[in-house]
Amino acid sequence: MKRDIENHVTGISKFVDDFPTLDGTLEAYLFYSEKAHAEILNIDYASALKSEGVADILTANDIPGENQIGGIIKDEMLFAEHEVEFIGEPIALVIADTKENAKKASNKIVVEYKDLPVVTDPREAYEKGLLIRPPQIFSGGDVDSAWSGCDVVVEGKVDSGGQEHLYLETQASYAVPTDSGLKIYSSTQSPTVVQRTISNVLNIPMHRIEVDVLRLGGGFGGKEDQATIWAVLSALAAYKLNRPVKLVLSRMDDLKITGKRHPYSSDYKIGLSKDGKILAYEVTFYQNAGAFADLSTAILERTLFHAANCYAIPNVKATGISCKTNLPPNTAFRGFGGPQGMFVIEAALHKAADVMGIDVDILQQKNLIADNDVYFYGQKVENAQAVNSWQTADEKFNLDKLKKEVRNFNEQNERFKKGFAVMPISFGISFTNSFLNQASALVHVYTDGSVGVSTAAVEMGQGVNEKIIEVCSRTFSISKNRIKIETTNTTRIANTSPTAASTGADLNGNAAKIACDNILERLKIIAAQELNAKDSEKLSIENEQVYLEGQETDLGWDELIQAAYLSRTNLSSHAYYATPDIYFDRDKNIGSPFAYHVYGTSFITVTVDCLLGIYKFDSVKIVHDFGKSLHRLIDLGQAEGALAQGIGWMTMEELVQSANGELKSNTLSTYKIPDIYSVPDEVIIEFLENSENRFGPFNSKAIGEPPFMYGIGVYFAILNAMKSFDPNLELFYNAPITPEKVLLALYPEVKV
Amino acid sequence: MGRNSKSKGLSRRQFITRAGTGAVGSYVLFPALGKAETKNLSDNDPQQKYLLGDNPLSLSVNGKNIKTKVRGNTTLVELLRDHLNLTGTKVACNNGECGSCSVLLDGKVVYSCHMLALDAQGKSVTTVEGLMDGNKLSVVQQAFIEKDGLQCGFCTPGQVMAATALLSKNPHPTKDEVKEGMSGNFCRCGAYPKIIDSVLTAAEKLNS
Amino acid sequence: MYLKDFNYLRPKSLTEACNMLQQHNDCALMAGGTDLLVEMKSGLRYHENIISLAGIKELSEIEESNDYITIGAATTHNVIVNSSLLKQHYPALPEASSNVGTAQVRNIATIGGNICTAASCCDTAPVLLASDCTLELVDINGSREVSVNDFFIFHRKTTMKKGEILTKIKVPKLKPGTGISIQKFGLRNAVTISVASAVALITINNGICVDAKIVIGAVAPTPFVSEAASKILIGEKVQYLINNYEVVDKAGDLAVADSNPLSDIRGSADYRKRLVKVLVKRSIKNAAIRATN
Repeated sequence: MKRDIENHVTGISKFVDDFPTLDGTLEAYLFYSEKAHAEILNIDYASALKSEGVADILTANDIPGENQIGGIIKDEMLFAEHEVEFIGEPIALVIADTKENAKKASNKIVVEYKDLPVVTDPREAYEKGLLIRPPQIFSGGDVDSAWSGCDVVVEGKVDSGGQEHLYLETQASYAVPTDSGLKIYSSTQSPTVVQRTISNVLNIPMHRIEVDVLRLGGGFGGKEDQATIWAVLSALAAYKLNRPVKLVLSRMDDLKITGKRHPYSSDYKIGLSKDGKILAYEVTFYQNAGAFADLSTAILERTLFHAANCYAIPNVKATGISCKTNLPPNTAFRGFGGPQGMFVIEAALHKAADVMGIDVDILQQKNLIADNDVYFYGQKVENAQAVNSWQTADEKFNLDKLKKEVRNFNEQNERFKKGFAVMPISFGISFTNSFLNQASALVHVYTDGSVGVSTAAVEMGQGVNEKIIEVCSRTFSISKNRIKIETTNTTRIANTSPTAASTGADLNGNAAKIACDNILERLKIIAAQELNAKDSEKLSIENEQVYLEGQETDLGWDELIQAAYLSRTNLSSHAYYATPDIYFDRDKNIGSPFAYHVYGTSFITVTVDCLLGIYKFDSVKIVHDFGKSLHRLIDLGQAEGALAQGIGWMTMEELVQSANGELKSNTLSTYKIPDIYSVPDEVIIEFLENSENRFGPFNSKAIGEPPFMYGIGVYFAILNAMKSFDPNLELFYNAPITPEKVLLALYPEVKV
Repeated sequence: MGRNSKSKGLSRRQFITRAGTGAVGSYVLFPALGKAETKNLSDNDPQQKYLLGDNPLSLSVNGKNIKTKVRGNTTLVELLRDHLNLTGTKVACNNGECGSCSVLLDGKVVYSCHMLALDAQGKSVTTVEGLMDGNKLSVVQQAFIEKDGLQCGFCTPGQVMAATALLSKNPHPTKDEVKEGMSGNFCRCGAYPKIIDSVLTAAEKLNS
Repeated sequence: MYLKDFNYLRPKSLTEACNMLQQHNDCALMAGGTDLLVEMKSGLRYHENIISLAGIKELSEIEESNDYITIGAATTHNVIVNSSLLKQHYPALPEASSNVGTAQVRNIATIGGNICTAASCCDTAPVLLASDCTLELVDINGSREVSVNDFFIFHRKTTMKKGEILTKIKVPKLKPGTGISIQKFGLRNAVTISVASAVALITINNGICVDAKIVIGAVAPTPFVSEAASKILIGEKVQYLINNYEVVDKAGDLAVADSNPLSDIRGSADYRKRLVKVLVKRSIKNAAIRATN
């Protein structure tokens, strides 16, 4: 069995745009708004309809069902009718014989707009009352009465920018009419959301829509909710024209139209005792949601959950305000609002340490959360690894020595300054909407002993397929080469939760394990019969061989499967898993929403060239809580990749929009994602030992998102280097900290 | 809205025209192996006609001689993907900035999205499909597997081509030279440490 | 991002190319095409006819004469980077070419294309301006030579006339006692477009700077020689230049005064001016060190 990785390096792996198309396939191109906010006065399609190769142009009038694609809040139409609220908002779909002809025709559509006021800043939106929904408040203790007991109180403002996903495979979908409905090949993290939304728009039942996902060329959250629209559009066209229809975005359109990580602007107030205990923390997040809700409210909720990062704070009040602006609806991105919340508390601590004249790591360490503490929204802390990972990192990497090396370097260098930061993390695992924490798996053992596994998990580079193979291989104790992971398909696995929130391997791995165990139980009964053993409990399979009371028998996997089949044993199992013991009361905003938390500590050193404002990342040393890693190589890759994206978000990835909502950073040369030079010179990732986790298959822990947050430390390391160049530096918390910002901040008074 | 029946329903890739919708699924599960069969494209074939232009072009792709006619605006990657069905080469930016479309042109690595097919006249093109020796993976391919030098796999064919070109020019690269040689290829998954590892490992294997 | 169809012409000789330029009204020359294709794909530019220079062998040769190295305009950056003639006689050019784009771009993009595009952030123009090289332009009526100092007019504008093709770049061999330093600042190491750059050429005789040229890129409509910054260095002791004496600081200020950067997506004007000063100072120091070795 060829593994995915072999197909990737040989070019065999197919992505949606690589699929061989059926005869008669048409290409679709979206005609979208070029205005960030305007009234549509008139649209003239006449000359576009006559354009070469055009099959049809679809608008709101062609929708058989509801003109609505909003998930959590139903506020987003598939096609705009009278008003557009962001650049890129769909107006019509042009379908033609070729992509080129579809694009050409769309250029001939003429819209008459009447401009309306454009808002791109979340605070401005808030002042104008433009909200996605009313503000949400999470609190623990009593902040208001806590301030008087604080020795130090610091207030300030923190901003963090958006982030473009830049999955290398752009949004793509291919819809094919079938006898009974439609089959959709989609590059989505959420097959069921695609299926349900198409059902609603086309007004046909879900069972007539089959969504199939082979793999994604990167998702990072950008295809959790925002792959849906492209699938719906291609499905609508295929349904109306009864022809296969393909829709693949160009990079420029993808950058321009699709939502990104939410920019946040936040106000904080933090109070501490003079010995460094955090006593109170109040924070207000203004989230830039863009024009429609998308997943913004869920993302904002996770911001609130992570507002205190890994610190035990007795009095917390966190307010989240989702602000409606005229930008493309912002959406999920690795961390799902968590990083935005954690950046603010880290900035608050950084500022407080500066005011108190001590190193911030002293405050960080002093306030680490531990067992028997309570996360401020009510979840009791269990199996906390915050202190453990900090101490392990200190033992392995020697915090004081690293700090001393930086001090020594800075004493001897004028132009180059080093900076150091510790970034400890705690990240909750589970969808915070508890109902999503469910998955199912379908396992078939074929008569030749090979195994096919279907789950709800979508492979997008995070290695979930390889991990599920690992789970099944360990459960059956058979070679991985016998196991194949099938496409994610809504007819095999119904009601799939999105592959998101780092939960893919947990939920689907657990479901697959249950399915394998079910089959294994039946196989043991057969083995007992074959071996004339009385008790199937005393049987086991090891390395494809049946063992009886610890003794190897001559019954192997192949013969066992044959025997089972001939004696009419069910060699398939469909199994279901739901995360136990989680809940959250949305009326009181209190509960225990996470199955567990992932912890870790990173030590970061950077060097800033204080004449040019550029910097390099010298080293990132991490002790991370992987639980009992299912697959060390994949987990390390995930940690390294997440770190790179976190560093990118904090430093070089700067989205630039003009006041009228137009994206200026719309190519890879103007929007800078980490390149091979952005990798820190030294990355050391150590596995935290003795971390158990009853919620993960074989005691493993989720890996996708948590290491992203280590990147946040880079911001503070750079700031510290700047501070040692200029002890009077005005501290600022406005990510990304681009070289330009560094240089202008280092020489604020110089006029050139 | 009124329909325009002008469309002739031409397939992008005329090699694969199968009746019935199930065929798509079977192709997905059992993709064509290795080097795609290429052949002389002729304008006698009505379905290919749309892709073909008036400009004669002959070149070698993965060792096979190709004679065809293309339009002036056909880029090299369109020739590879749309005419020759070699979809291993990916398009991610279509603007000469990301490296996913990297192929070898007379042994040198180039962005195939960013050059005209006609400028490859008389030249020899190698794509990721042309790296294997029969069923045997190239040393570079093997090293990427061994060191897990990838995640989602979309940029991987380009990375493998850039690494192949780098090592053919410089069989003993330092880590810095690997970074320089691979700097034209983005990986959004951030697999860079393992990509560097893969290239250094391939170099070691080639030298032993 | 769609390339509109055009008529592709592929001359086999320079004469044929000149004739094509004469015959066709709306046409553009294409060497590597790396710049042209970006503009055409984004719809900023369209031509009915594209004349590809890919088939003309004579345009990609590097030759040596007594005082010059002559480079064919369609020579790729990769060939320049690896040219032993250039490494020996004008190493700044291979260094500048190595700063262009990525391996993939350098294998296709040509020096002639780089110059004729005449972007203010062009990587090779500053070292060519420092060299005082001569450009050969050919049209249907014959050829003419023009000094590189008279070539650039504005961002993306040159003195080339309609019907002309840039064929050769004649670079004078570096005089003994001369050092050049290139300082490029981009916002990332890979695939980076210059935000600001500076080139210093310093000639030393008996420990005194007898010739100097300070060229600045990406901070004005074209790369340009800062006369004021260059002049002030002449007559100074080389040790002053190496050790960053006040005169170097002054040269930096004069270069900044000469520059006129735009604020754009890659950096604000204010930021670029600050960079210019640092880059100019650094280039003077390094060039002086090289000149003494």
